Amino acid sequence: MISITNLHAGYGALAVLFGIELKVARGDCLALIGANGAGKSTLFSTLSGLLDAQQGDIQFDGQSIIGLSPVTIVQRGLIVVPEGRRLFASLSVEENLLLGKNSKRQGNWTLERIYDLFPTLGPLRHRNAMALSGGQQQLVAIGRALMSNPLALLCDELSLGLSPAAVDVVYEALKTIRREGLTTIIVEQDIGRALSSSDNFACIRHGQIALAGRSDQVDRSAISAAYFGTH
Amino acid sequence: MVEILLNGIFIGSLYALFGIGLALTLGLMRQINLAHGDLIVLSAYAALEATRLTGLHPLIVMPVVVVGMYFIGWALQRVLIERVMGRGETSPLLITFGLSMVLQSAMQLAFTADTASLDPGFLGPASVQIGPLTMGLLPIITFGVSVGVFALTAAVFNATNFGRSVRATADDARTATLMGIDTKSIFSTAMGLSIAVSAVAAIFFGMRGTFGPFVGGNWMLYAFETVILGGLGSIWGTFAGGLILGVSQALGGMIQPSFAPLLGHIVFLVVLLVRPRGLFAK
Amino acid sequence: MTSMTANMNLVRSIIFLCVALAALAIAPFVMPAKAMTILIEFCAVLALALIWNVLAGFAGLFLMGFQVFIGVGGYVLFVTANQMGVVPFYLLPVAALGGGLLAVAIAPALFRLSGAQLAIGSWVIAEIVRLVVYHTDALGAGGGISLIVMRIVPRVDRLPLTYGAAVLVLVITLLAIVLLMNSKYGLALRAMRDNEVAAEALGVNVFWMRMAVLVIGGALASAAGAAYYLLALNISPTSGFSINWTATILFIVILGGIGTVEGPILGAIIYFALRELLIDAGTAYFIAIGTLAIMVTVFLPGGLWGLVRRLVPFDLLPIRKVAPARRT
Repeated sequence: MISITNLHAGYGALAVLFGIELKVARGDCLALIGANGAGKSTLFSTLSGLLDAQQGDIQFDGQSIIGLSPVTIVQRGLIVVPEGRRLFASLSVEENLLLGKNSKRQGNWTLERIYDLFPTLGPLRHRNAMALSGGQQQLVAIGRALMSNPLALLCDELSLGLSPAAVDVVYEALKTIRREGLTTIIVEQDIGRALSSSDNFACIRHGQIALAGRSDQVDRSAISAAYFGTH
Repeated sequence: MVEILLNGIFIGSLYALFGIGLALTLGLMRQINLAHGDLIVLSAYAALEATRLTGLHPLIVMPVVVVGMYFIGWALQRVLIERVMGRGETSPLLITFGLSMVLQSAMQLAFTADTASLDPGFLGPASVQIGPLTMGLLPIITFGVSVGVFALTAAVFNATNFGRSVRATADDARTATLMGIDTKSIFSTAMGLSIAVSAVAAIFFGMRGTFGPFVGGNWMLYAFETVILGGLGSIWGTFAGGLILGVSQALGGMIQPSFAPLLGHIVFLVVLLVRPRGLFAK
Repeated sequence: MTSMTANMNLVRSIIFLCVALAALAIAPFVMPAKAMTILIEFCAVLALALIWNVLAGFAGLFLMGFQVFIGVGGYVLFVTANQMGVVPFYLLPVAALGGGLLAVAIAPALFRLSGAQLAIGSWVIAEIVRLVVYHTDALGAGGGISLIVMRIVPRVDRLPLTYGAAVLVLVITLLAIVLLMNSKYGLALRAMRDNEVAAEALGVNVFWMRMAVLVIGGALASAAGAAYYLLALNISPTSGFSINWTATILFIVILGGIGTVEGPILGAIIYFALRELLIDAGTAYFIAIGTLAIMVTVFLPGGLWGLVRRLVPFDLLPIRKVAPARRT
């Protein structure tokens, strides 16, 4: 579904990614781990089209998405759940969800299905999005992305700033979504949580993939070596 | 006295239309089009030329002028302003400043510096009797059209996908892009609508008073005052802001005609000092 | 930048300043009266453009109503000189005081706005002052006032003295800017230009910084406006508070490069050259310079000075350069 080969990207003269190689099969969940500044956010920016790749290729659903605008990439079915949720402050919960429809993609996600999936949101639908708790906001952010009928979700720091109970709810929701056949990439600071929620993992360090493998067959010391660069 | 107040309300409903366009671009792109007033004047001249050529009533040629001005606003955004977005608030001001200079001079060249007006035809003398008051038909239509445009704007903003997308883009353009909203298209559509709505006001204004190539600066100031008086982000607040400005000017004009703009400016300044976010901000 | 090249730069800048001052000092002895009047206007307008540029390019105060300082400077000078019956040249500091006080008076309203809104808000304030003057009989109302006290100055001395006044204002303005930019406040201003929130976090008091720049800038602008009206001898609300003042300044700054100190100097030279060359073009001239302003903004964001700088790395003024911030 997603296949990244030899991807180089950065900001002007500042190179951040040096030849990223990644593959995510349809329906799989990949956990992207790595220290701050390793290049996770840059990779997401490049995938979503905010940042142009300097070299290399990204294949999505059988076609290259290099050079496409963020809007076109959403239309192809790849959408982010941004870090910090980024709900629109002057819109209600329902209006935030309806915005996802801008992708004009056909699919079976409707408001009713979102409210079925996240029953807590139903009674809050006409509230201002910012009046919700952090966990509820995260559900709205996921719902907003789903409304675009995506093939793949890029979830950036889903648990950022949430209470442990809220994190459980959000990851429970993620599990449900995955049953719909969605391909997902998650960025998560909590490595334990990342590994338990994913099929595969990839650890980025200094803009390269330092270690990758199956999440359930992982050697913790290898991970920490890849993460911190120690031996 | 009542007549003066009513007149202020009618003029104010036109200022409100000048203002709603400016509010749209200010709220959405945090930029002010310094040529806003000059583009309004241009639409008045366009209507004047159209009535001269066809012999039709200004209200009949209005749709054509409004659509034409929409495309001029759209092109202004697409061709010029879009190129400098992301460079801070200064660049759009500089570009529209240059445009203002060009428009004023070009209109002077094309239409001379003399003042002009649109012939309201039968609407000029027509009046209706409401109780003890005799009111001109034209002011009543003016006010009605303004209310109609505001109601339509509010409906579009609150209940359509375009309105939601505009509000989302105004909140956070980057995230809006990530959600699949074509923000460039939103910006140029908004700029087109901003000028088109003002063109409606320009034609009514031209039927009641006079205009010349250099009044655009003042019209832009009135539009700006209207927006800040009402509070940015509040549609009906802008409408009220226009009425307050219109009535203030009418009261100023009672003292002496040249006092009209001064009292308007002073009311604006006082509101700015007392309620910086406007009278009707949410 | 190594200290070696920095020193070279400083030497070059000082040579430039000396040559420029020498040229300005010799000018009155060799130039015809017509050229002198243009030079006086040039000095006044250049000083104004330099000030506007520091306000807009560094302090984030984009003032569309900048003309208010020019008009107030002229009126303060005319009224005090006429009332006291003294040689008007001595009263430039009073005009400056007027401008400084005006800045203090309008700051509370101005600082409630920012960005584009501040730009237009300042224009409204300028309009209020213009209309108030227009309705004040003591200030000659719509007809304005003349500098009748100039009669006590012998005719032959008027032009050289006016010239001296204009050059003095320009030199003080340049000195003030060079000193400001080299002081720790200059660094703070640059920081503010780049990122206001970050500057605040670094301990720059953005409010007082702005206030100081506005007051000093307003005072100097009023002095420059007064110097110009020493030449004109008449001031009316329509001329003194005309938006055309700001339009001219804006054009000069756009052309030269906003946010660079040298830009306005280059811009002013080109503006005056264009004006004298196209003096017969009439309205078409304004269409041409408006188009030029648009083109330069779109295609040359650093203005012509930015272009020159890219071709020859050279500073006209001794201003410490800070390494450009790198985005991460």
